[in-house]
Amino acid sequence: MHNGSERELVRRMLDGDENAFDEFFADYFPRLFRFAVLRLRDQDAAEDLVQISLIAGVRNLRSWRGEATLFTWLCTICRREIAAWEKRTSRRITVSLAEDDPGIRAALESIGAAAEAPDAGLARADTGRIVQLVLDHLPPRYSRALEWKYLEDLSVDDIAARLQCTPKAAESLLTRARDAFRDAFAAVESAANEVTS
Amino acid sequence: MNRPDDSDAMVRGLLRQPRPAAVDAARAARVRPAVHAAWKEAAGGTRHWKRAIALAAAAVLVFAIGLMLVNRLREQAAPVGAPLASTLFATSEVVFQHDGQARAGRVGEALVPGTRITTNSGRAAIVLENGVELRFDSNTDITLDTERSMSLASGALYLDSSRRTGAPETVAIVARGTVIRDIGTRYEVRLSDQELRVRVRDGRVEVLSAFGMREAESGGQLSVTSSGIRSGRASISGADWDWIVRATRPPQLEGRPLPEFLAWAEREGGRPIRFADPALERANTATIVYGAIERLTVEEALDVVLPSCGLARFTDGDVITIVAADDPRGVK
Repeated sequence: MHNGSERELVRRMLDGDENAFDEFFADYFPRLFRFAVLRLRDQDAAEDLVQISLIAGVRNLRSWRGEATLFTWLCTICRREIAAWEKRTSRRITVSLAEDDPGIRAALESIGAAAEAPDAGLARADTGRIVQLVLDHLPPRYSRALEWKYLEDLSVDDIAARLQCTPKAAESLLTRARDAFRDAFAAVESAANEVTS
Repeated sequence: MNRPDDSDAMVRGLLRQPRPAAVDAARAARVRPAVHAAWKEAAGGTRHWKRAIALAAAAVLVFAIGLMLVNRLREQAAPVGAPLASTLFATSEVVFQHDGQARAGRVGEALVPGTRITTNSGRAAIVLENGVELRFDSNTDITLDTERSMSLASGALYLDSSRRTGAPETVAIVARGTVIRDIGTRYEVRLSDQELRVRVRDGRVEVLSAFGMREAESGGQLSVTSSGIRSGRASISGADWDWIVRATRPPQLEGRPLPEFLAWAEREGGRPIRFADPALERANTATIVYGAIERLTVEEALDVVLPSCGLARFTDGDVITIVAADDPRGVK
């Protein structure tokens, strides 16, 4: 479902559609930056490595098959770049994160692969971080729609206008997004509890 | 955690939890150009008109980068229109453009964000508010987006950050989708149709292109072309560096001590300068320099000034050695 929209985004990017690139960058740069900075605890290094990762990503878009979400795929590239950077600079400052626990990681990656089962894994008290993590792993349209509705209090009509779809389609997307978020949050929280217990 | 059954309320509550701070827009603005350039290159990869696309992309990119960076500056704290640099040197051919108005470049003029400098057949030099000096060779077209970012559309520049004051923030030079950042250094960037070349005189430079990040140190050179990036060695002195002396105001050395002149010659020429023996150096610490050196290269200036001080020089490898005028090793 959302994989379909990601496939469409990638297809448009491969066709050279500037709007598609804008969407891609706006959606994935902040997510990947958060991903990197959590691990490096160094914003400047994270900026450089995310740039390198995104460059590698856009140059190899054809190799993305859609088995994992685009974000998961970009995270894989970024992990590799972080490891290479550590080797190159003889620095080892990456931080061990709960979300790198295999169980949590599998849950997070399943958000995309199974289209809406969330993930797991952080300290119980860190609800905001889990929320952000889940949002980052949801399809970008889901995350945006949820934030418009629950943070900006936009009406369904307004959301439909922003999504360029009918109100009925927007309502449907919101329902799916809410369910996906709720389930994903529960799964991640549960996995987090297991890790920290 | 207890959650209400109503999933609407639950999601609302969770989304309103405090979350990590939003990503700094300035970071996105810095990263985007290189990613965009890489994407354009890749997207055009299967097309026969790839080269044409790349050229068009470069033009669009230069424009987009300028626009984006200017917008970024406007979003930041610095007031709109606050000067970011002043002009150290400009020959009569140099043109400054801002807000659609063009005028001849003038020494001492304050330059605001968005100013475009075209040197035509002349040369120019500016100094940023933080003391970083930039010199522009002939046929250079550059836009000053912010104090920390500039877009080079064509030509060549020389950046000297050795006299930077305040925080050690780097200056990013953006050229055809490649970002060059200095790490306390002096280097040259030259952009031609075929390549972007970076030569490092001292310090270290990071070059981030569609082909990844590479670094070069003193004596190093990086060339970015449509097919990749390659590193090599480059001379840090010699005739092809002469333009940098001609692109800035000549030093006011008349009546100044000889060591001051030699420090200038060493900095601008890129070669260490030593006295042949300590006694000769001690004897000349108070020697005063006379004579004009305007429009001379470093080598020419040495050959004008040293004889007037009863001295000569010879070059051994990359080191210039100063000897007494009657020393047979000296250049006559």
